[in-house]
Amino acid sequence: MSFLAPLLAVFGISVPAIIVLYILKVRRRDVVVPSTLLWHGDAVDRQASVPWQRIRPSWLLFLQLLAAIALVLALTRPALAHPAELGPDTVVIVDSSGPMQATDVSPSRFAVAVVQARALVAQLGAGQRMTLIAMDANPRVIAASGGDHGVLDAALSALRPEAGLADLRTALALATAAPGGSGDRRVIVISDGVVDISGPTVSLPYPVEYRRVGVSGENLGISGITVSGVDGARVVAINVTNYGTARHATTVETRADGHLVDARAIDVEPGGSVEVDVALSGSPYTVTADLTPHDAFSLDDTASAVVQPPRVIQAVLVTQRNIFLQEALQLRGDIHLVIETPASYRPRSDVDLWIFDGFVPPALPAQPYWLVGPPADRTIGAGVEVRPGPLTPASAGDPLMEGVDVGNVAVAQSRDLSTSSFGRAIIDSQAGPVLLIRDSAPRAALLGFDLHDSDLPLSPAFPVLVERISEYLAPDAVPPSPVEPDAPVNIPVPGGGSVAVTHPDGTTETLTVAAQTGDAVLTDTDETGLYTATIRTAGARQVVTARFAVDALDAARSAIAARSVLTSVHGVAASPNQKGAQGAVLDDLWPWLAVLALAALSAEWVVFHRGR
Amino acid sequence: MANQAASAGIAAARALGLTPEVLALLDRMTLPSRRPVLGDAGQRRSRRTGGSVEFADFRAYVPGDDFRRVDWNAYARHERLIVRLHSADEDVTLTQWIDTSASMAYGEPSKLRAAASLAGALGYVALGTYDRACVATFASEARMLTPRLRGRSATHRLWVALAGLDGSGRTDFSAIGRAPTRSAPGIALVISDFLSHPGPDAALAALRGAGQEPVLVRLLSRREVDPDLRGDLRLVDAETHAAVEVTVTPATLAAYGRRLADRTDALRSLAARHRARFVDLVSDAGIVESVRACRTVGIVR
Repeated sequence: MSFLAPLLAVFGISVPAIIVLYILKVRRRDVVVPSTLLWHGDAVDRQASVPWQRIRPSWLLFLQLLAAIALVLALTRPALAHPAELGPDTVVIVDSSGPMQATDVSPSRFAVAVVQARALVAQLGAGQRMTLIAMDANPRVIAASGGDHGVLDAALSALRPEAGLADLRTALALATAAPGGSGDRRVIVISDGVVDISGPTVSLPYPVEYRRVGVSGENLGISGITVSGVDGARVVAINVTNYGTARHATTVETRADGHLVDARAIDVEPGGSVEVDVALSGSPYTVTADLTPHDAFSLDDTASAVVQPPRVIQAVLVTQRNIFLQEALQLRGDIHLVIETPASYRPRSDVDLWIFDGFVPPALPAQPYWLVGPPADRTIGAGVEVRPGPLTPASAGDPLMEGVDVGNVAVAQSRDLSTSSFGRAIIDSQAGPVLLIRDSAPRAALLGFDLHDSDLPLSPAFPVLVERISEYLAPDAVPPSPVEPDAPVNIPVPGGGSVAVTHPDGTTETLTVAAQTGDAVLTDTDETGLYTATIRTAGARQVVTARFAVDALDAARSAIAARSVLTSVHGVAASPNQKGAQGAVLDDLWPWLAVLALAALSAEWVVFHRGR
Repeated sequence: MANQAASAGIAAARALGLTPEVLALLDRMTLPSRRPVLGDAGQRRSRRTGGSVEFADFRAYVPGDDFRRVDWNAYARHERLIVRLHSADEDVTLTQWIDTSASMAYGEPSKLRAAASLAGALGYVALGTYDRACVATFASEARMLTPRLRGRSATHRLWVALAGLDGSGRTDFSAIGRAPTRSAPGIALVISDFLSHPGPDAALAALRGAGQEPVLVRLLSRREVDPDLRGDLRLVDAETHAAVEVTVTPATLAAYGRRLADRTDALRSLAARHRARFVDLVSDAGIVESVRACRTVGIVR
């Protein structure tokens, strides 16, 4: 045992002081009474003619001495040294991703991980710090570096498992960036090892300890659900995959709009998949597949699909004649294209997308539009004709330019858009941008050159570019295919307005529509199932209701076998200091002594008042 | 001269709290005797046969009997000497022993004043019914305060003597037994706080031996019954000047109360053992209440 504040033992003088107070006689007031006959007995303190008296055994004295000794000892902060499991600076990464919901260990991998983290918090001694990081698709620090057990325990209590796949790389980056890094840091990862660690090996200057949670990898899950066909002949294809190492049997129950339409028993070989095709009668809106009974990982035992009604985009191409544009637009099966001449142009509201070729209407429409090879126009910032030279993407990684190679495209002449404030540049040239996109409502695009002055229409990139731009200008209301849990969902509201999303558990969330992009972004997609988006577009009379499904179909998540090691992670070996200060940590004993002092004082109070 | 004595007596009665109303109440009382007592001729009938005119009984002559009491007619008929007995009309002597030790000076009013008031009242009753009354005091020594008085005219002398009492010295009950002139047979009241050791055991035996019927009147002050003391005190005995150091707490006071009750029980037992009556009074109870308490146990009726 050692004392962290030995100088405060000077307060030990209080112990003999108490004894002296008991030895010293009380200064008493003289009172003359008729007789002292009845005052003799146990009520009489003592008769003496000296200022000192012999100390007598007394519960009060004993309890007061006990309280004083306990308080003085507490002030000196005695501490017991014991071998340390934790170093002075520990970062604990608790896996709260989807696979941690597996119940192959009781009650679940996540609950076991939290218990282990709590045990580490309990071992945290004086002078030791701990940082807690929750690791799911969006790792975050839930308790910054500190030694307060209450704060750390509260952070663990508030932690809930998510559905996404653990992003170990980001979690390790957070562990590296956590405050207090003094070279004695140690990282403990409590996880099942089912993590997203794609990319190069992560090397850390700290030792990384992996504590595995989970014992089994047996899991049967739905890996795909697709509805095909048309009304009256729709078929839902459900893929069931066995991610384990043993053969498993299950029953696939299929429900259309909530009504059971098929239940089929299947056997799935280890590592294999079975496709179950169920013919749907009528025109159901939603289809849900369910594996019964659920296994240890139920997140992928249910999947849903939304049968979106066929969508037709009403597009009007205003041109004298442009066969390239006409052909490229008509490649999209969901566009109903109407061709008009500039002379016959008249604005109207039943159009989803306008394409103006070589023509700028006197008043730009309220619906999304695309200006191609416009004449010089001050309104849109189209200047004189210039020679643009070679074309390049304005910014790398723009989704609009994905798969579009314009490096070999030659353009004879283009309008000078260098001074235009129409929108952001998508394709650039030596003479300035040649393709601009406006993100605010209504969305619009401006291509600075006439397609006949370029070989772009002859390039394979042209139909792709047309599809991308038209999709961007007239997007679907909601994603057509199932969304992975924890993935953000963009809900376009081109004219602005409001969006309310009802989650599978029935709760409703109102989203804010960004004025810049005209999109509402739903980020809380942790729960699998069917979501309903109610879109109220500004100025529109009708309220659009769209549904989409969030399904855990990712095989990386469903392969829940706990990994024995964390691959692609390399940490340095632990130094003696990182195993604890001089191999030991000190446990403060003062709280116990304070409790003892309080108990002694309480008992003293009781004894005193019972004796009164 | 007689007027001066009467004025002093009236002043003493006022000092003793014996107002006309109280005296009117006392006028309706008389002094009983629980058993016939031997005494001189008086208003009270005694079981002791004597020389009065009322025939009581016959008995055989024994040597020493007065020949004048022999019934010669009976001798003529039976040829045996038979003595005629007559009941004796005797008065009762009320002797009141008042503790005048220093402890009796305490209380509000003081125990000594309450004792004097009670003695004055009971003496008034005795003298008013042609019984005899006398007052003696005792502390370290016994002293006869008055001779045996008789007749209502003597009440003023009795009151004057009682009004001048002063407390000092230590209580010594054995002084009663040592008194050179004990009163005649009758009722003997011992009025004291009985807060001394040894107790009145020997005094009771002496009184009983003198043919007197003892009555113990314990008189305490209110502060002795319910002390208003608190804290760390050094209690000094008024008589012995001995000191005890006490931390007075509710528990201490409860223990004091238990000891007082034990002391009362012990006095009651002692009185019963000596066939004496026991009266427990508090000095602030007032003379009327005190006399009523005495009537309750049969000292007056």
